[in-house]
Amino acid sequence: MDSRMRPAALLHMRGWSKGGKGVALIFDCMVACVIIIAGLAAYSSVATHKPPGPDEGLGKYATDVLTFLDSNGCLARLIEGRDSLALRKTIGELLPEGANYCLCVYSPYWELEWSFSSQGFDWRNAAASSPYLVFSESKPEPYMVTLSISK
Amino acid sequence: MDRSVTTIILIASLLASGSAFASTSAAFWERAGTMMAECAVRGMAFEMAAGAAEATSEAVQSGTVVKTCVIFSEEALVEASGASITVVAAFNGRLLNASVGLACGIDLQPSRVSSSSFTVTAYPNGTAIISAQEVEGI
Amino acid sequence: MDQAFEAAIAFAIFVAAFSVSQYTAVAVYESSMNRLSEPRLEAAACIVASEILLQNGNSSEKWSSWEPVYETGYYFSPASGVGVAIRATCYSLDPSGVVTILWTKQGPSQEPLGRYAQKYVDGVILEDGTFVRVEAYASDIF
Repeated sequence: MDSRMRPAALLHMRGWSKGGKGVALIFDCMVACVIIIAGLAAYSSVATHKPPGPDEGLGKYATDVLTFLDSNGCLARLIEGRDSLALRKTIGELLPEGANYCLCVYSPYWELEWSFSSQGFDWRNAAASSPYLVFSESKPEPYMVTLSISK
Repeated sequence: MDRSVTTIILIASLLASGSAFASTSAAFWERAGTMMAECAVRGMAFEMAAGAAEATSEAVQSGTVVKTCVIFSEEALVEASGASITVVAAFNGRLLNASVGLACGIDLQPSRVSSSSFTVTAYPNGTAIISAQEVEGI
Repeated sequence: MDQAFEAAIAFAIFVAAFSVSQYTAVAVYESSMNRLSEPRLEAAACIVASEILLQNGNSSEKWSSWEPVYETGYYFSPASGVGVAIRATCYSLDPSGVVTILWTKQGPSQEPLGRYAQKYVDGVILEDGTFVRVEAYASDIF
């Protein structure tokens, strides 16, 4: 083993540098290559990384859900009763699996009156419905309701 | 065996394996590059068709005209005829195209538009028009 | 140090560095391909859901007679290599706010195509006041 390795090692050293630094130079180059590749990989992942943005389709779906809940005056009753448990059950049933939501109820002047969200709701990748006007019989002014859904 | 012969065989085998690896690797990365480019163009075609299908579905449901914008990161030539959309994009001097057909009959006009941002206008009768969006005052 | 031992260490370092560089390159390539695939598959799911909604509209008759098509590539022609799964659920709402599932239709694949599948959700209120949620899943078939 010893006698076989020596000529090859000597060949490298003679060709590249004196003083037995040839092999070290090869490994320096290799380490530099590894660092460059790792750097390029990190750069490409940062440069092309697209954060999980809001899904516009989900916003439209949230508006559809509000329209459906309002179809027989049910949404106004649930909001007036502040019955978060019933609303939670109703909305949770209509949303796809794995989706989280946040329901916000505002006055006509955009003052937040009431809101609740499911566990795991994240604003960063949430899509909101268009503001939805809900009229109730007991109150002259309508509510503004938005439903946001996050994946 | 003579030591010099052993050395020659060792170096030759190293060179042979090295060149074999280099050629295999080059072929792999060339194929990988082509696949990535094709995948990107195919994705653009699908996004354009999805924009048209979504807008048309919404327009038919709501009974109103629906406009939506499809933006690509680079300029592409879009051809549309009948129910088929083709997106053509250039990568490294090669022209690549991908086509998407829609099962329902959506008419798209004009037949060729070149831009990086497109407007899809869908009508309640189930037709859609793709046009290049002109951006002014930037 | 024994020269053979030194050579063995050198070779081990070379193999380790080479493996790391190859592994990193392949991982970068794979993640780039996945990043490209996600919007494409989501667009495919969107096309399928939109076309189903376009075909059935808000007619409860059409929806009750509709069945998810059991042929891959029916909804968009260049779909070779793209698998599609559809699930539609119809809900009714009583005045007290209780939601009831009237029916669920699923196909062509019974499973939502694994963890790489992309999903698109859309809904429509039918003429009889019920609500249909359409979920379309798209994934690459290898």
